[in-house]
Amino acid sequence: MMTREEIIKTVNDALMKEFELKPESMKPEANFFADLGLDSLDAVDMVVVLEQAFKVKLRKNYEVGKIMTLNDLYNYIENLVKENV
Amino acid sequence: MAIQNYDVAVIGSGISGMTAALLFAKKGKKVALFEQAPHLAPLFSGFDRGGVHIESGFHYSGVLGKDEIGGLLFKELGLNMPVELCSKDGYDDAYLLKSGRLFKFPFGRQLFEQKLIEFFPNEKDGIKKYLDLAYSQLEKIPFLNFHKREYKSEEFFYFADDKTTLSEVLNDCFKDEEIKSLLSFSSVLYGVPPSKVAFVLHCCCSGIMFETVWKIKGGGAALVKEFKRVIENSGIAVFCNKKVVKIEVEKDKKKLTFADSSQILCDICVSSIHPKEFLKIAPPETYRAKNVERIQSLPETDGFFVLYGKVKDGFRVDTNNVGFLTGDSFQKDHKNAYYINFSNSNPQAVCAVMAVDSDEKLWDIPQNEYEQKKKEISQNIKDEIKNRKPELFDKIEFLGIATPKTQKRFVNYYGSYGIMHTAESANILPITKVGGLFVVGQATIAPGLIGAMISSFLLDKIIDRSLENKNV
Repeated sequence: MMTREEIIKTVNDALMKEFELKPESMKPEANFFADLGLDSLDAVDMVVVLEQAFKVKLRKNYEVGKIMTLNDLYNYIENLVKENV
Repeated sequence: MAIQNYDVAVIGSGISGMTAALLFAKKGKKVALFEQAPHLAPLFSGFDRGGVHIESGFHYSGVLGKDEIGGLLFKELGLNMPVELCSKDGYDDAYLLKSGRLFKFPFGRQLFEQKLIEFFPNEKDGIKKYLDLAYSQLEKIPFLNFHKREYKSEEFFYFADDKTTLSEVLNDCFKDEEIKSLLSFSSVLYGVPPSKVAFVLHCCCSGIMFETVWKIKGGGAALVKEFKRVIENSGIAVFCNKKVVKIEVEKDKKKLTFADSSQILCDICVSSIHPKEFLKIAPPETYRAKNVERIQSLPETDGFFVLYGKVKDGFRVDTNNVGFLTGDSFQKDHKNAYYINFSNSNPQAVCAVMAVDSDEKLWDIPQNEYEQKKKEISQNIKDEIKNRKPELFDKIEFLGIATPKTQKRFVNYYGSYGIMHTAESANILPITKVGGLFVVGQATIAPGLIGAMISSFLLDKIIDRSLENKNV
């Protein structure tokens, strides 16, 4: 099973590559909209790349709309990965 | 002369384009509708050959009754559509070639369930399970809930995201390959193979025919005629033979350039054309590079190879489609599936249709190769029908051939339903990174008449919501 550190690394790598983000902007408290400059259009791509990276279905779960910061996303994926084991 | 200015410019006059234009006109906007073809809605309009009208875009649909979603959307647009119910006991015929039986698709759950059990008694439990699953999906989708009679704005923001495929559901419910083939055959009518389509999308496209199936008196051409009537009365400026070649952003305005070098300005621009065609004319700031890559990688639905003609000797067939299913049709994902469509016109038009790969590379080929290919596929279809149903074959007079390349010439894309919606891909969103530049059409919601209309209604609600937010 993936550790939290592995999850964080996988999320960060995937998002940095997809959205051309700088490593120093990837702070846990960073807000997707205010700090990372993403918009609702990017949210769709974010879901697509994370589903590919973790081989889990994210879209089935409507909680996904409550994710505002990178930390929210790490927590969310950590729980999903646990459930899938 | 000063450059013409519009509040809204809609590119493409298919169902979603006409719907979007009407909805903006209802908001009191000055709207222009641009179509590259010589007349509006080329796909739905069909064409005349040898004294018969051939349908190229529309045959029948579920939920067009006046208190069903299609009927309610027509009403909202001011359209008085001449709809009529298909035959309740058999709107489509499927020959089950393995067991040598003819299944006539009825509508109404009870009839459908009884008929399935009668044909497949050993699958009784699976049939109930399958229909329960399909109905529970339909209940969840606000537009398709059979008991709903009105719609709230926020319901247009409902997105179903379950990625279970139709094949997975059928394999889970049934052992018999013949029933799996039968229940997945309609996937040919929205262009996504059973192993790739999300079960929920299958329900959106085919499940809507569980309760009612409607035709339009006079077919697709009558539907377009009614749209035209309302468009003419709404003050929308309509331009045909007007192909947009470039969209640019100039301050708060969008500037459209046409193939004839003329230009117009608008505040809002709505593209209803194929998303890959939109990418060719859209300003670079429309999407991020990765986003463009994702749209480019979306697969195209199969194309239709059509042998069209008419029924001879006053013979009449009282069904829409006659399909032929072999024991392994489902296993083969209905690849190269074929069926015969009968119109309700007089004289009765016939289209023998085969689903074929619509990849541009297969159709954009030298003329002599293309002619050869046409010859081979038509012979193949003719032989199939002749072998399966010689008595039917003898009644058909073939008049011509339409291929994905023919369709490309009229509607600018090869696949029958544009981009393929798969369980793995995300829909194209109505918004772009450019404020006031939007996308509607089959790729944003779902394929078909209802999917195209809902895509424009969704945009209408997005605009309402952003106006509300501004007022707060």
